[in-house]
Amino acid sequence: MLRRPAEALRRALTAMARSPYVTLTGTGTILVAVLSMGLVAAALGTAERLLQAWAGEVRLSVYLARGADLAGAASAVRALAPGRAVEAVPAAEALRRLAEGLGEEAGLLDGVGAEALPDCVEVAVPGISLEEARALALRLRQVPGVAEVDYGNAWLERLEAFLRRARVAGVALLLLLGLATAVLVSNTLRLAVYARREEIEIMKLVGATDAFVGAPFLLEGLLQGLLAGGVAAAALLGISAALGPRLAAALGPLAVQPLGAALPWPLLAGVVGGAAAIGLLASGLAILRFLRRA
Amino acid sequence: MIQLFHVTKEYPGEPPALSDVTLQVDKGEFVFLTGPSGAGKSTLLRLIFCAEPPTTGQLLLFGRNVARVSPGEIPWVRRHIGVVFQDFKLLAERTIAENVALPLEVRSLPRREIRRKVQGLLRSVGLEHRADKFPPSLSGGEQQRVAVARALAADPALLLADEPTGNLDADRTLEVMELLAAANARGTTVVIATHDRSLLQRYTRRVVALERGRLVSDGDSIRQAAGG
Repeated sequence: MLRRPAEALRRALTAMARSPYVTLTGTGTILVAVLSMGLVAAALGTAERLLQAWAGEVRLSVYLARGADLAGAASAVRALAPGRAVEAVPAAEALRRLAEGLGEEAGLLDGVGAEALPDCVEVAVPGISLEEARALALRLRQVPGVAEVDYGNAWLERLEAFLRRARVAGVALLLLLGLATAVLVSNTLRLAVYARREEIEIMKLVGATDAFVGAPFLLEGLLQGLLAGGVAAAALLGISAALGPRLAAALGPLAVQPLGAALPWPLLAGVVGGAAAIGLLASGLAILRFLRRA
Repeated sequence: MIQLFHVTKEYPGEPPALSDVTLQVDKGEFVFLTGPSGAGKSTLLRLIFCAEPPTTGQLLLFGRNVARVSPGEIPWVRRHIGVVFQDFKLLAERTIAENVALPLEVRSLPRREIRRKVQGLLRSVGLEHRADKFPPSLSGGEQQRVAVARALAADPALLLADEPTGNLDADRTLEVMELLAAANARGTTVVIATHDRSLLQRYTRRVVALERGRLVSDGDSIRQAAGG
């Protein structure tokens, strides 16, 4: 058991100061690794939030059968979708909006009367998921006089499928990066341990226990990880602050998110904590392998 | 202090490094372990400081069978042993004082006590004025005196020295031997592996001779000189 952690910390800091190149190499390796992982995670998170924001623009259109009571249907819809913005759109208004939407091509509607379109109730459903939209549509179908409910089924389902694939690909990519990081950092720290093999050998010769020899190496790994994680988190914040306005200009107001939304604190904490864990584990593995052989 | 019963040490594909060696070294003794290169002197010292176990036979150290010493207990056994090597084994990036302090740091002694002991040790080997220097700036003789100071830092019961004067000239050899003899006079058991016959002639001590891993003679250095 290590009786003097403060002494181990002092020895760790002294060793880091004595070998700045080795310390920088280890810290740099962890930094590159966690920064790559952080960038991938932040990019995936941002992409998902953007797609969800676009999905949130979806409106449910409840089409009525000819002769159905529009005002009554709108009241029934309001009751079934509490808290949602519900608008009754008569056929004439629907035709006007369609003509407006067609712009210069509005002439195509010449000769088309309002009777060609059904009365409709529009329901705004911001942030709704596919499952929720499907369930709401089923409920709205029960309203008397409703002929059809359209919630952009095909588009939403494609979006959901895309998000699912993106999540799986993101997790796979992060796992792959994590594995590569562990191997890379472990090998770098093994070299650092190997460079101090003489010191370890002499320590053991004069009666040092494995805990006494290993504790400063573990602390060095932890400190290097914390340092790398801190720098990576700061770099991510910097990149986010620099890219945010450009992303907003390219993608429109939906892309404008506060910094905290683009880089939530659990992600930043994960970058710092993950880097510390990587440093600790990699140095632990490296020194353990060496002590077993020593 | 040290008892070997029919100890053999073999490495795969090689003739035995030690073969059926039976030997006893008592507390307070000063023993030269001699023989030509490859006789098994260093192997015997490695077995004694638990760097590796015997292939067969029994080795008792401080009354304990080393075969029953677990890997976790080895550091505690080594804390009773000081070791000096021909190539000094000093850490080049640590000062002389820091090198001597190593065995005391390992024992987690308070820093003030470590400083006090290191000063005394460096004074005893005549290097107190070199405390803040680094080993590469010292001569071979000075480096070996630092190594002796480090080996004696924790007042070990047993001091093992593997060719401690192999890299030194005659005057420096004498200085180092006097340090080892002084430690023995204070009660430390000393075992020195050497093939330097002049040492055996100068110091009338017990001499254990090895050849091709076998113990071939055990007596005092006068008898050895007369015999060979």
